[in-house]
Amino acid sequence: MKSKNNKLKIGLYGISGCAGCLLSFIYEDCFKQLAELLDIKAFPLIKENSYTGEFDYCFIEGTVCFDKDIKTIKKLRKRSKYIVALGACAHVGGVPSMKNFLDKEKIMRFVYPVYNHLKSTDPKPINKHIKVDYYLPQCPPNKSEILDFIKCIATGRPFKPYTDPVCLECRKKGNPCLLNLGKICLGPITNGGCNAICPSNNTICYGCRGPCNDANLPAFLSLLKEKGYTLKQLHEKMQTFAGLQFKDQEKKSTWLEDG
Amino acid sequence: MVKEINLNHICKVEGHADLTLKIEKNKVKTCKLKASEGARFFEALVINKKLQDVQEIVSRICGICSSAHTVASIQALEEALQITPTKTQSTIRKLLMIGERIRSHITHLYFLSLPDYYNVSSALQLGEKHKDKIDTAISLISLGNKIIELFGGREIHPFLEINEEMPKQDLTLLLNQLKESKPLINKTIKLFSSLNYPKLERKIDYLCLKNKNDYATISGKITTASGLINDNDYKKHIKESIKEYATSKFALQKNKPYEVGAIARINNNYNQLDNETKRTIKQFSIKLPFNNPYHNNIAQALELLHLANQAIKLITNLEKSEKPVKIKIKSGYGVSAVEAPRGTLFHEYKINNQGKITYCNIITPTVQNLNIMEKDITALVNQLLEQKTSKEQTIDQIEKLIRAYDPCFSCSTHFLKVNWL
Repeated sequence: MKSKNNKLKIGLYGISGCAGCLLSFIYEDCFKQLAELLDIKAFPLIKENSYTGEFDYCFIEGTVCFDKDIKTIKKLRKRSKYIVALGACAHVGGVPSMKNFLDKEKIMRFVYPVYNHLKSTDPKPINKHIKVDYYLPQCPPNKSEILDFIKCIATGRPFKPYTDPVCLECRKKGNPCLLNLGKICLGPITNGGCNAICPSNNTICYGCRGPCNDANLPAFLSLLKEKGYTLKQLHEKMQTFAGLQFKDQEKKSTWLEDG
Repeated sequence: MVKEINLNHICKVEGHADLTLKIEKNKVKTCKLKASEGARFFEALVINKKLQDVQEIVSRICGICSSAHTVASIQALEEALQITPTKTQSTIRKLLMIGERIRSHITHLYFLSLPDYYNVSSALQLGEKHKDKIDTAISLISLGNKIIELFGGREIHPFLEINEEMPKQDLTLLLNQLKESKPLINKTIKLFSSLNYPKLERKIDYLCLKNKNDYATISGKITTASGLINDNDYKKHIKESIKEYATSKFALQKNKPYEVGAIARINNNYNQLDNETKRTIKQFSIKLPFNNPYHNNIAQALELLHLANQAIKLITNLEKSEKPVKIKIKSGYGVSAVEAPRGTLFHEYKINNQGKITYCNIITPTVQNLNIMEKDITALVNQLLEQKTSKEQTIDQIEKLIRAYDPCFSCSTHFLKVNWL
């Protein structure tokens, strides 16, 4: 399925989002590598879009926020061998997915007195509507992870996702523990690979890379209870980026605990 | 005869946008420019959140101007708490905004706009024949990124907690990089002031922030040709209205469309530009004030020089931070207006005595430009209809005009599908 020039055919698309992930691709090293190693067939942010053929890899940024987003990603799925969810919004829903945990009618009315024309749907990550093959998580995504992924697919090397918690990377860097400083940091239950960038900048981990596979939520919760926090406060933090995934993980943990 | 023009998904702008033009008797009857993004409801998402969590949420409105949203939200909340930022904090915020504006302008100039003037479909194609131009762009983007990363911890969605003390770093390398960037910036000004822009002169109002002693970035009085306005009164002057066909809101000043952005800043704040930039304006015989929307490109290029000089000055005079004031939570109301790359950005909050948000309103630059864009597109298409311009050329011209404003439809996919009826 490779192009004549023997490069993989790539599409870079966005649905409702902030364009930050796609912009990461044109910043510095990423752009040069991208142009050199891959054949960019479609990238509407910077390119006229006349290509109607198929893609080897299609990167999608953003959250599914209205009916048009669903149509867009379903069409892209049909045209692509592999779909890559790019950034926290596509991967876990991101900040817009917070709406799932709030009074949706009230929210819409607050921002737009008239809102039926918006055709809003419940904000969801793209894998709730289509099959996703790869994830490049984080908000904004990690540029070195993007570069690694580009090199992997261009050379046929397998891409290994990171699976240890943020906490591990944070401790390796020797940062003071924010939990001990009286802040609700989600580092212990969040998938790392970000080099603990937020705690390293004195900001709590908001869980943007989603829960790690073996996250022990009941244990984390009882630790926070000991520190005097409530379940509601913890949920609020978890809902910032990956509320839907943390909710699933929580169900799983309860089931494990009961079993 | 052409009766309707539909542009679904305009390429090379930040965001999804559609345009519908209805034509009667060889004149444009209606022009509807609509952002076709899914609404993300940010202003409602922060309600009931603690004020410390606001910045993390609102910076996600935009990956291109996240520093502007960060700074505006923090300043508005500080005002609500009646906290005055330290001089060092203000300097750091200015530097974040400068880094971001350099990156944003360069992205727009070289990646989105320049291909139009070289008759190529993208910067990728431009890079094949004019590698030096893409190298210049990448190197200046890298400069902008370096500034944001040094002062904000990362390139996109920077960290800047309310009242946080700023980290200390060795800034010699950055200073050198800034000085070395000036020949590239001059090349950029030369290039963009010599492009063959279409003619579309009009007399309109330009809105931006103004300070007496510096080229406004993070604060200032709202200024238009008709005078100064206080931040807190912005609502009296700017009204948002919902046009049913769009997901973004439209803004009007005194019921007349106006323009914000680099073009407005250069027009209104010429006196506050540094001497080198003023000399450059003379050297390249650039005529001010700008009355042609396409000249926003020249305004952006000129700003780069002033911003690089301003950054050098700010960094050279950066002093060790005095201790920031401790936050005392109380109820309050605050507004902040800043100059984002694309123009004046407003953030407004109310907080209760527990430090939780009870009200939020945000007005972005592109929202303010939508009306004037529709008006200018109408004028352009009327001109082209009179000249009996071909379909393809008309569409090319419309897209080129839309890109000139550097709109941000809050970002993403756009592929062009043209329906002529």
